Amino acid sequence: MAMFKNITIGQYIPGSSIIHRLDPRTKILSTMFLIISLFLVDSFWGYGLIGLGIILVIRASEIPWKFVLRGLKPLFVILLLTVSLHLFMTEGEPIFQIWFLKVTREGVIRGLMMGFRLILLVVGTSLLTLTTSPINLTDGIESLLKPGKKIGIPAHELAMMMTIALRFIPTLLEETEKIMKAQMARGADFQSGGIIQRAKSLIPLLVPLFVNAFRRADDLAVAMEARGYRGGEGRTKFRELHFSKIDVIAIAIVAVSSVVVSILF
Amino acid sequence: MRFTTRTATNLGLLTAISIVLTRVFGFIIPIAGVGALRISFGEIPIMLSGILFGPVAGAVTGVAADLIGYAINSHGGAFFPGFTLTAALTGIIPGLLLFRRMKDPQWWQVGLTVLVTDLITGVFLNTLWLTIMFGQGFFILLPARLLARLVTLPIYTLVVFLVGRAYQSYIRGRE
Repeated sequence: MAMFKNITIGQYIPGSSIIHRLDPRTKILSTMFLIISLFLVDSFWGYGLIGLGIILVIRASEIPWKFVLRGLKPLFVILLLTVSLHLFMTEGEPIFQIWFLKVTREGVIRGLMMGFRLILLVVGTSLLTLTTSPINLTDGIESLLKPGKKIGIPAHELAMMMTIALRFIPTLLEETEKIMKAQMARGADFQSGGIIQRAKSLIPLLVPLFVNAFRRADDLAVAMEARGYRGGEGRTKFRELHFSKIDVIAIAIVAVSSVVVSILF
Repeated sequence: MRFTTRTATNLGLLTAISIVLTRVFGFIIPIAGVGALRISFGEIPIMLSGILFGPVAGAVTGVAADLIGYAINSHGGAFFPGFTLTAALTGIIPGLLLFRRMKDPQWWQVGLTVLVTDLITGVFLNTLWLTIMFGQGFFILLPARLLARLVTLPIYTLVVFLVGRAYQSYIRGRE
């Protein structure tokens, strides 16, 4: 069963462009600004300007368009549905009518706006993961959440868990395959039958997967503590994140432009 | 809140299982050609982390799983903070309901927990987020989303119940 072999983990595309070299925190914060302003803006001009900004960033990141637009493919149907739902279901001044389906002017506008917003959201947020490796992303999240420690946000634990999860995803995929083969040798059938049948056949697969994971987690904890791991307190880092001048400039540009766009449009 | 190393590694592994289950196993029931009705099992490990290690642990696992899912997403999709909140609640609610009782839970307690969690997060909140993202009209999918629960509820309940019991006997075996 080669079904797990072609699963690529991550969509990070290595590079050395100016966007790649930005501090992950800069990119995470910029993405947050983008999401907020996308939901505040409510006009074609606003979406146009945000789109222009995203295009500039894509050019600067030197990532081929093919990879940027790939993220839109699975959304095609949903995009179509969204646009057509708005097209037909918005009340307003009718343009033309096919049987009981009435297309209104307001519907066309709303539908196109929703479509644009969705495309910008997908392309914009995928830029972060295209130019930042998962490990850098994790480091950035940990550092950004650190101030939240006072109110009980376990920033270091979250980052450690994400790192462990990233490390063990391929291992667990392999293990899943192994358990599947073992159960198939005992007569289990994962491929045929209806939805309920197929869902039920997963139980003898899921339970051993969990139990093995608990065992592995305990071994890992012992190994970590044997090497002196004592949680986040006083822990130093091999690679320190640091804001450079470019980061400050980038964050200033993004913040100012998203505030301006959100207020004006 | 500070976790022990053992809790942190367990939650890390549960996060990884959540990613694996979301990515590898999942049925898409096409209703009107929309993949919005995805039946996956990625919520099971998040619920379990809440039940076995407490609500805070469940929340962190949910957030971690959502963030990684976005970071490694190889087939596109947007990041939307609403879904991060959903994922956190998927861990918090079972933690609040079952964490103290996990020594000897009845199967109906597990079933009720799964049902309540799923109704709040999967049915209500996610439909709300989709509506915010795609505009009104997504509520027409609500009946279909409810229908999908008929398949997931028994499976979720059974797996959460069995794994919970297996975990208890594993703990006993270790001590």
